Amino acid sequence: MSYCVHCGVELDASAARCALCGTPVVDPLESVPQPQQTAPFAETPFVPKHMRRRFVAYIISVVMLIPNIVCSLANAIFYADGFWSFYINATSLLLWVVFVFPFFTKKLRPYLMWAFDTVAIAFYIFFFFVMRYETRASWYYESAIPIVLFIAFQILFYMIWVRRKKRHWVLQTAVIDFNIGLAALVIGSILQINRNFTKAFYVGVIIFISCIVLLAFLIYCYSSKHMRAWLTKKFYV
Amino acid sequence: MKNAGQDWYQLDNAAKIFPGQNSRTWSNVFRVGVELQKKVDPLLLKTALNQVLDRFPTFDVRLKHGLFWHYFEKNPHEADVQPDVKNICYRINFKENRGFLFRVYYHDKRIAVDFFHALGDGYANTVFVSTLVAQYLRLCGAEIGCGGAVLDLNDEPTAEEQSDAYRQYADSKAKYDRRDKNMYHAQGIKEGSHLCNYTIGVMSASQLNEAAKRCGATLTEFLAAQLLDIHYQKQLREEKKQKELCIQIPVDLRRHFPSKTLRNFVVCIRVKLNPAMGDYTFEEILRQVQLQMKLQNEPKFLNSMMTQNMKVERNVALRATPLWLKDLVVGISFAITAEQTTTALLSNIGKVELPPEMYPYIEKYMFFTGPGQRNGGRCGVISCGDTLCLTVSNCYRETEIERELFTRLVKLGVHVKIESNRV
Repeated sequence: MSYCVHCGVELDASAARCALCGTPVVDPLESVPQPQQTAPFAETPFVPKHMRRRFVAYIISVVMLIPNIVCSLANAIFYADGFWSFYINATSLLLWVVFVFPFFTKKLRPYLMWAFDTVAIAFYIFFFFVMRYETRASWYYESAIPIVLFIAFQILFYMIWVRRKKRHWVLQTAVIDFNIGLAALVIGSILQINRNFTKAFYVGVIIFISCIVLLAFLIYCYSSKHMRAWLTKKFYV
Repeated sequence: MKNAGQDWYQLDNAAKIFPGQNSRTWSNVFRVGVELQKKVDPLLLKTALNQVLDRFPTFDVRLKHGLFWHYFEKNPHEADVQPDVKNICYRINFKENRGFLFRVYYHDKRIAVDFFHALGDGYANTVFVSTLVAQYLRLCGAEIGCGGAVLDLNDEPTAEEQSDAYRQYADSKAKYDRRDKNMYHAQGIKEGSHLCNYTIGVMSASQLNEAAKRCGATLTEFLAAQLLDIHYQKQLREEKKQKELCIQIPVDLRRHFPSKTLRNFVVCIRVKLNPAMGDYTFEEILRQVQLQMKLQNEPKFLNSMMTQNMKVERNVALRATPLWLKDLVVGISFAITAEQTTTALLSNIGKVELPPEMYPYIEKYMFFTGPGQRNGGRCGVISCGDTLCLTVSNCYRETEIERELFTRLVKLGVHVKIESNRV
């Protein structure tokens, strides 16, 4: 018969530690062999299969595939208007990768999803703009790809940062705010350098400065315990 | 009942909502278990189960879809028993387990049954488990009679046992407004899907009753006040806007209305505490609980709650709505509002009465409320003889609620033994 020294409750004979506080059971007469005790609960959980979820994903995939096949065949027969079925194919592919594909995995795999989503968006922009206006291919490589990659890596770093440790919501808001400002500045700069779009650059600078002002306020709030509590109270959902 | 003697049953008023709420990750499942003095023989248990099922026709069923409502149909299959699992009360799938809406488990000296709430309430399921255990003991060679929660297997099931008692007794003219605010929830790190932590405190019923009596309260009032106080203190420690707290307490309506139904006959009363009113001591919280329980736990008030539930079922437009649409609306509304209006749950089945010759074979009774979606403290209380089991089911990894509850009882002089499925 053992008792937890912190909680004062009696523990089950099979318990290696207190279920309430985690304090280990230490037996001073450890050398004396103890009779094997059966645990009060079974040790193996029953985890139901994820078939239903995956089954629904299969059904949606098949339903999405049918119009794509029909349109592709129709396009092959009526070729006079060019490759118009690509628009449907590209949109379906993007929607499938973003919304249906996650249901095929048993566990949520955020980094894998991030990689697939980034590639799908890059391809989507390619199909939609470059296939239509072949002369604008330089726009895609010089501006669209750098912007998509920059935002994707911002999201990736944010995901890594949040998943490593639980962050206070004020700090998270500050980081998101900074990233929005930075993205606006970088997008403005890319458009100004490659497309000579000066207005975009100025808009980017204005957004960046606004975000920096808000960032300063949020960092001040985060560093002060009093302000943090006040903000939490005011914006409690 | 109008379809007594037939091989199908309508769901009772309370049960109608449960199939719609059922999802891949959440079901309204709870467990009643019994620990015996000797190791359980699964073959004898299976034989006992199939003998007992004839006496409980409303349990020997599977759930079917009608055009407008679900209904129970007699299950043509033989029920089976299985070794226990760690994640007790995990979700129920109407196509698994040969369509049965209960699962019978054995583990060492323990017999346990997980029930889908649509079958019946805590009292009805305790009667089923007690009759099953009595029959199992008879097959083991013990001479066990009938009485209390053990039904006679030679008796025919009566129409009253199978009836929907809500329909019979709900006749109030008063209106009951069930709208409520979002309440405080003690939150933490969630366990994975289908997993929940259970901690049982085994204690002497007389010691706990003595502790409650010293405070001038009944057992339910005392435990509800302790739960409220624990959540109230926890909320004070958090740097957040102070929200209202609410403990949900199911009330067995058989104590107020002369029904012997073995289906659902329960409504939930709500005991609240508003921190905006000022600071509370434990004595003040206990007084709040007592006042609110006295106000709500009386037949006329309970009847108005019951009638309000019946009104939904009797509504012509709702009755004519197809089942798939009803299920969709119930499912979505439950997904949005699940447990938003309750902080914790306290379900007290009370003392289980058994035939005198059965007591020496029984170590203890256990009652596990199902895992919540947001509630970290869902408590189930049951006692048999002088042994009382207080079970806390917690969907979060943190042990703060149960630790505080059991250490408070220890400080009041109650000897508590802990068993848990936490590693």
